[in-house]
Amino acid sequence: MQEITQHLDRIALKAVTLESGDIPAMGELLNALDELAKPVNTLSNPLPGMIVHGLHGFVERLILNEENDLEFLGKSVGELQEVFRAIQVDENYMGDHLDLLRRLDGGKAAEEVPEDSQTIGTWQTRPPKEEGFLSDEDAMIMRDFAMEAIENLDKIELDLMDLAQNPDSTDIINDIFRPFHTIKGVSGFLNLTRINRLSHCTENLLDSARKGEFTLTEDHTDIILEAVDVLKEMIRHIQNALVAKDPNLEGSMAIEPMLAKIEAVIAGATSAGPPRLGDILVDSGYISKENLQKGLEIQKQNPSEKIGKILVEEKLVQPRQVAAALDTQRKAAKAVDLQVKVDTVKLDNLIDLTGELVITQSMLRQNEVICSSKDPRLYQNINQLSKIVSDLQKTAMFMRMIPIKNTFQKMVRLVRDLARSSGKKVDLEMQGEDTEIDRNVVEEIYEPLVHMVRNAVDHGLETPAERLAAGKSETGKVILRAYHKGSSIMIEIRDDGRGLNKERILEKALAANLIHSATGLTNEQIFDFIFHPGFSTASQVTDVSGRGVGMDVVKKRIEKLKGHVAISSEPGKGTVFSIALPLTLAIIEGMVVRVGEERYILPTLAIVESVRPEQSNCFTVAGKGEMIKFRGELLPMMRLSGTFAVAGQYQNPWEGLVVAVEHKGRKLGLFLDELLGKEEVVIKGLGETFSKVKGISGGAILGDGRIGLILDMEGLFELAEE
Amino acid sequence: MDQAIKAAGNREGKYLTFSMAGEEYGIGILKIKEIIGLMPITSVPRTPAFVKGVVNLRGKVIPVIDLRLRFGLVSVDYTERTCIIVVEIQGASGTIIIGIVVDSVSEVLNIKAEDIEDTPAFGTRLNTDYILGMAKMQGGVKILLDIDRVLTAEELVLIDKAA
Repeated sequence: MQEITQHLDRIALKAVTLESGDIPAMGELLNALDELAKPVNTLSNPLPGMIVHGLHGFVERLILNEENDLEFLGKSVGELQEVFRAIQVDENYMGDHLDLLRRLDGGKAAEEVPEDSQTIGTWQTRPPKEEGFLSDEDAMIMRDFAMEAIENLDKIELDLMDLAQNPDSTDIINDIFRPFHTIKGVSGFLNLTRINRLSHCTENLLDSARKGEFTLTEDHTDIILEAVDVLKEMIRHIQNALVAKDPNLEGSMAIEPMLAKIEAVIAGATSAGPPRLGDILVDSGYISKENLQKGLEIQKQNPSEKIGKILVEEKLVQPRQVAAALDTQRKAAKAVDLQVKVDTVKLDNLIDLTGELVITQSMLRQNEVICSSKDPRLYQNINQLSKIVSDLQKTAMFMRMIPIKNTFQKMVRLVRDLARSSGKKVDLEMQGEDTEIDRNVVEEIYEPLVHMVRNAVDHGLETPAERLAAGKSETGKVILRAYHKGSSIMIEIRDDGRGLNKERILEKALAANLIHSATGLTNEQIFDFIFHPGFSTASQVTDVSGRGVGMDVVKKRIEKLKGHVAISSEPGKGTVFSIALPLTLAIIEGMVVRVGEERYILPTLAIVESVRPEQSNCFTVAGKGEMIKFRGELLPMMRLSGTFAVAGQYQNPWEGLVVAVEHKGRKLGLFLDELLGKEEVVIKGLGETFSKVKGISGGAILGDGRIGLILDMEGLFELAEE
Repeated sequence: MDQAIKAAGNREGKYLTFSMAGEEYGIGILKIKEIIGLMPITSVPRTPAFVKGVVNLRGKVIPVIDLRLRFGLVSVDYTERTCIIVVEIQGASGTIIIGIVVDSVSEVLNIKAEDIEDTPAFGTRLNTDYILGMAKMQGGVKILLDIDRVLTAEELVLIDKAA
């Protein structure tokens, strides 16, 4: 049996890597099949031998160019593996072997095949597995499987959400089908029978949908989601069992109820076909049912004609309408992204090197010999080089960016679950999902986003009854929107609910002693109170929100990402939270400043103002160091030259420059020699060697290729207090 | 364990030798990433004197230390023979690339095990942990350095204190 498995693996590999026209490879495949046939024919079960024989014929016809369906070849080999697996674990093969053999045979009937697949798989070919824990190698395979399976299941969840919006898209169903197929295959190989059975069963459901036997409805989606949850549970159990070295890998979760449910759905599924162009036309109101029927009658006599064409010729619809309907149909087709996983270290290296290329290129441009050259070709080439280099740098920077789509789509399930539990009707709309954002930012923004979406559904939107009473449609709307604005990315969470209650917020703010009176506060300032720790206006605490924690965390998170959040709200019309975030965490906008010979980068975010103070505004306070009067405020002053022990050019503040910086509400005057200009720089860590140096957060390579150190406000303020 | 390795004659191999204050030193060639000429060094504040600062090595920021100052020798002005040897040492979390400034690079030598002698005991006061051994060559004795120990990671991370 082991010999067979080995042969089979080799054949599977050959079959999937086979390219049409590659005759030598097909020859090898034939040889391999012959090899396989020997041990297979000694089995008491006739089915594998038949499939091998069928495959042999199929490959021969491939060589003769009578067949060209390479995909089917791969699928058949997969099925053959399935059959063996079923035999090994003494189970019934669940696939349709008759159809398979028929197709392998080029459509010829295969009557000799035993009709009763029950007889297959009753051969005991393998001694029962001995007890005990896995070998290290097996455990590793198991771990990899579990990790990959969880990844796959996460993806399935997302795709299911997609599917809910385009229930007819076979592409999306395929996207869901494939990972199930993988899980099924690998779990079978690993002897995880229960995971295998459940995934197989779910796969069957999807397969029927894929073949267009019925359209997946929300109920189906729910059941598949349930199955995903059960699978996840079992896989987590594997992960735990691997750690605990528990030989019972799959746990004891009952899958039978789940299986029964799925099977019931498959059995009960109607055989209604997928919606067609005609249906779309009727749905859009372009054509009446009767007229469509007329068109279909004509099509019956003339089956090669397209229905759209017939309808137009009969003047039942406008060509424009058919075009629109076709467009709707096409929209279901989802673009499949081809992706490569790349180590971030490699990516960073690429970014570093392109940065250097930019610097070298600019040095080349400024080179005297080149500048004095009169050769127009040289100029042309250098210009071309600059263009390529800057494009390259842009491309490299954008490689870290990923669309926000996945994050947004995770909200779909959240909103669905929330709507269910709160009894509200919610329609989630997403705009600009393809907007790209730094992957680190994406990870950090997820939780705040969850919180705000929860708030929007839970507090923002009213119940259907309230909405109807207010003259709005029963279904509330939550819009997630992302777009670029300058060098920021904006994310908006908009709801059309009741809006923030200004009076209540003011009441609360007064009660909590945050303010003494409400006079003179702008709307924005009032709304800002909800970011205050422990502030909640929800009269009812639900299990998801309204505990008064959260919005302050949201704000903190966003500020950590160097972004900010703003609220606008109108009573009865809804609320908008707008988050502005930097495009990437890898770049900082800073002011290059000079102290003596050294240059530092001061983050622009921290800068309030810079002045050359009057001598009369500088004071030395005994025991408290130097102070400076700045717009009527007395600020402590720090000499960067003194703190960093470098020789500054000027000794007196009124000769040099004082920059007022702010951090967490505190202010400080930094005395330095000169401002050199604003620059956007790529942040580079100084590594663990300098991780504890106070006042410096990193380095950046400046225009001349030298390094400037980036000042760290937190550290500087600590140093100032020492 | 290091003693065992030393005794086992694993010290044999190729060494890059360089001179500093009239002495010849060697570093195992496998530790060395490259040798670069002196380039502008940005000093990092609040670090010990032997830490010269950071340089831009093709887009990577790497720390640079002055070996003379590290060994407590008199510092001299840098000349056009002054080099930075870029080495890879073991840090707390993975390897660290670091540059060391030396007076001048000499040559690559193949040193046999029988030519290497253990470090003589200078008494307990002197820490000779960072010396792999002494190589007796025709041109004189070369001090073979265990560069990981010359620049122990803890020392580099704790530099803040010395400021």
